Amino acid sequence: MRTFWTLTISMLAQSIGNVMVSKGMKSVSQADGLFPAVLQAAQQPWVIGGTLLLVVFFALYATALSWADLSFVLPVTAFGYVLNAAFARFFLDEPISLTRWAGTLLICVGVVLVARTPATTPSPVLEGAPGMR
Amino acid sequence: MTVLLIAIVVVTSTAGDLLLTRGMKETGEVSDFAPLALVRRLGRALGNPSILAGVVTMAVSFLAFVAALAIAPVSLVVPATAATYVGGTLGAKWYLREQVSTTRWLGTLIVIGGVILVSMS
Repeated sequence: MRTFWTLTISMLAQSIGNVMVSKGMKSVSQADGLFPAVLQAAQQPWVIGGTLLLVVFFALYATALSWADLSFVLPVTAFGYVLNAAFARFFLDEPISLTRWAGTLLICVGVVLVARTPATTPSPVLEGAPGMR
Repeated sequence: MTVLLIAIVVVTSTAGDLLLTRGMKETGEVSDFAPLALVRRLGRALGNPSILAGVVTMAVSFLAFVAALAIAPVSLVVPATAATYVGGTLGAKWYLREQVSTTRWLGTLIVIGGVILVSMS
């Protein structure tokens, strides 16, 4: 259950953060080149807020990985694509094509399958791993 | 050039995830969510070489991703990066010795198909 909540809040933070950064970046002018654009973005409230949410996303993603398998977390967090599509549709008025809906449906089916497997490999198995000491 | 950049994105992103997972397991489960405990836990994470290497690797991945987007269309670059799901799962199995069941593989492959479709359009 903690894996579910950690990853759900993590994906919400990521999708809302993406929408906020995306909204803020649209008001940043690129006419004067890269460096002025970066400076301008760093002062844009939507960009700052969105970036903070992306930091929250990363912290929660890492938190889940402190107990759950990467091979569990990686495919399950692809559900973020579904949230991204939904938020982009509702808040940024981006159109969603039929192909995109089909992909969204496939991701949901895949995530349900992966979520049915135990999130954590029992630790006696992990102790022999070359990546684990 | 595009292929090389995408290859760099996939390899560094996969390595970043593997190093981050290794480091988070080395530094122990996050179990106490009190603010002070979280700050201490963050300090421990930042002192772990695997986590630091993972974060640097992910930053390289992000730069290569942006560079790839500068020379190739989004509808090519983003679907191609779905290969990180295969890399991450194989790495988790061989390097981290996680148990990847048939159900998990099947779900992951369906997810990859979905990610490709979502990002193509």
